[in-house]
Amino acid sequence: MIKDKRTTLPIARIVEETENVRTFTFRMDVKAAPGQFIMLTDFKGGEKPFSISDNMLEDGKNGYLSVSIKRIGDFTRRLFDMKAGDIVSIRGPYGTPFFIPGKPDEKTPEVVSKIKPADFRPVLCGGGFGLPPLYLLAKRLLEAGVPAKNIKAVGAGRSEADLLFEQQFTGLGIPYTGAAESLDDVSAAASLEGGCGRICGTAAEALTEIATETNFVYASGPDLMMKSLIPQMPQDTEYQFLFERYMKCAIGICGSCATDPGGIRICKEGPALWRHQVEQLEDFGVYRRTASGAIELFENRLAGRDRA
Amino acid sequence: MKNEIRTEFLGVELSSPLVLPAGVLDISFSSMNQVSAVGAGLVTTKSLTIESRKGHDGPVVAEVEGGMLNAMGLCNPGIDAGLEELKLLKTAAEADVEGPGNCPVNVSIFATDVNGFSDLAERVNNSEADFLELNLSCPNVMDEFGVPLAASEKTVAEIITAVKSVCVKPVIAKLSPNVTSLTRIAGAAAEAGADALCMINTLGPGLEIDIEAGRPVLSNISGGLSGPCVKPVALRLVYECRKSGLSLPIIGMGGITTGEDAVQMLMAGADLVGVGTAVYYRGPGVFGLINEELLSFLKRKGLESITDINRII
Repeated sequence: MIKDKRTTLPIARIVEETENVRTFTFRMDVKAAPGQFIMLTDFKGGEKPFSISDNMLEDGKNGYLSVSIKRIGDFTRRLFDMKAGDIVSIRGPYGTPFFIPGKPDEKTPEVVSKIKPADFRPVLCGGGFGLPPLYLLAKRLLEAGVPAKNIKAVGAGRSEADLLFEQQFTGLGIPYTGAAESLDDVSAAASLEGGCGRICGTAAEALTEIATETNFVYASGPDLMMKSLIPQMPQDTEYQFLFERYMKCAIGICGSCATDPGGIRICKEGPALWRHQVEQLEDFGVYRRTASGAIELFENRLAGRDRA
Repeated sequence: MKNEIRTEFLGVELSSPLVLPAGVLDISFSSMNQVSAVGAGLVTTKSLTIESRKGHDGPVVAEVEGGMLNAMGLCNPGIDAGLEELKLLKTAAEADVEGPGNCPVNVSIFATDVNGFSDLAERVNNSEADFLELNLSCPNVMDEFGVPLAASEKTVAEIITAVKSVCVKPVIAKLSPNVTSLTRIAGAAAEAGADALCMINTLGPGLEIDIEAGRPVLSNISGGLSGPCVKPVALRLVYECRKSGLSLPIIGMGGITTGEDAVQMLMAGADLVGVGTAVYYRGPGVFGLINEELLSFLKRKGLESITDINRII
């Protein structure tokens, strides 16, 4: 029996979020948990992971699954040329999702597993393109009984235009703090990690302002942005970060997305990692591995961008 | 009675006969160290080439009934970075107080001709590698490099002779099942001085088509077949090599997923047993699980060691 089923289907809807981010929705009867991702291909060379940003199940049968996609390379440019009705292929959902209060597992720290949904006061902090998966998380937190007034969302971006999903969060009754610093530097704004220092600053600043009332932090975004949050959290705050690494098989065998030094596979044990896992990572915010498996230091990457 | 799965292979003491083959959880020192810590006796690096390769575009894997097609396309960081990773692995394994201490490593290399293999072999010879494996049989780069080198007895012999002249470490030839007579190729490898053989690389290659899109699933179109469905072929090929009188040590692999499968591979004539695609079915902990299953077989049969398992020939 085949476990890893592939679904090839037409795109049901495409919504433009910003100039460079669009949400693609598919009619799929699949239950996804927040933080999980799918692998998506157009069979024209390339298959990439995308975090699930929404997942509605109507009468338990006719479901929808959405991913928000940023235009960054040839593959995503091709997706941006597609229209509703065009065919793509999806496998997944994959990965270990974010924690939902009231549903602890063996990896959940004891102090967190005891928190009741009504007492859970999380901040959801997303850097730029890291925001969409936090929207599905917010919906699931509300469904689990976490009051909307307990939840705070922080969106950090390089410009106002990068602050995604403000309406979606406020639509759920969740206050949204947008922290943007507009940049004149177009090349930095167009790059993946470049200009990250500025996002880090704004995200961390925003978190400091609201962190006092919180007892949990979820974050999703570039490594450096997530790392910048740690010193801003009240001491002993538990957190989960959503990680991105180069992914190929997505089913735990190729090793492309493994982190150092413990070999945590972002496609299986991740993408959502607990604080006690994050604290063991040597590569977090320092380097990532490229498609070949070679180590690429962030500082070289940023330096390269500045030269360009 | 004491049951023991420790074994010796080409003069190196291994904690288990289980081997992590090239291509599975072997890009980073972390993954290889983890696999060693959970019970593999020997780990093999991703096949290293002179220059780094990013590999094929996705999709690179497609699950099929009874197995998996893959066409990673020899992605690797290149020999220099790969040997740096080896240093990190050796250091990490020694520092890991809960692990087995030592982590024997088989460094796999890939080139397209005799000179390429010699260059790489010289580099591996000056490294911390325990063994050198020659990947003569990748089925997924035929568009780029043509038919795998393992298809020709003459080429296999030339490469092994050249490599043996520059490398004092034990040399293992990884052979392809996709040839008319693997036994003849194995014989040529032995005669040229290979110290051991590793068989089988993935079968086929095979093709899977997405009928909704009307396109091949894999971007490389075809991919090597692995997993439980190839096990009978792997067993038969190892058995035939033994039947032909071949006495070299063999790392037998192809679809080994359980302790019972591993026993079959040992009975067919293998000395060590590779476990790759089973990581998909049972997780990285599969090495520890199969070790336990091997031990329980030894206990049930009243055997002290895996070397007491009788071959069928």
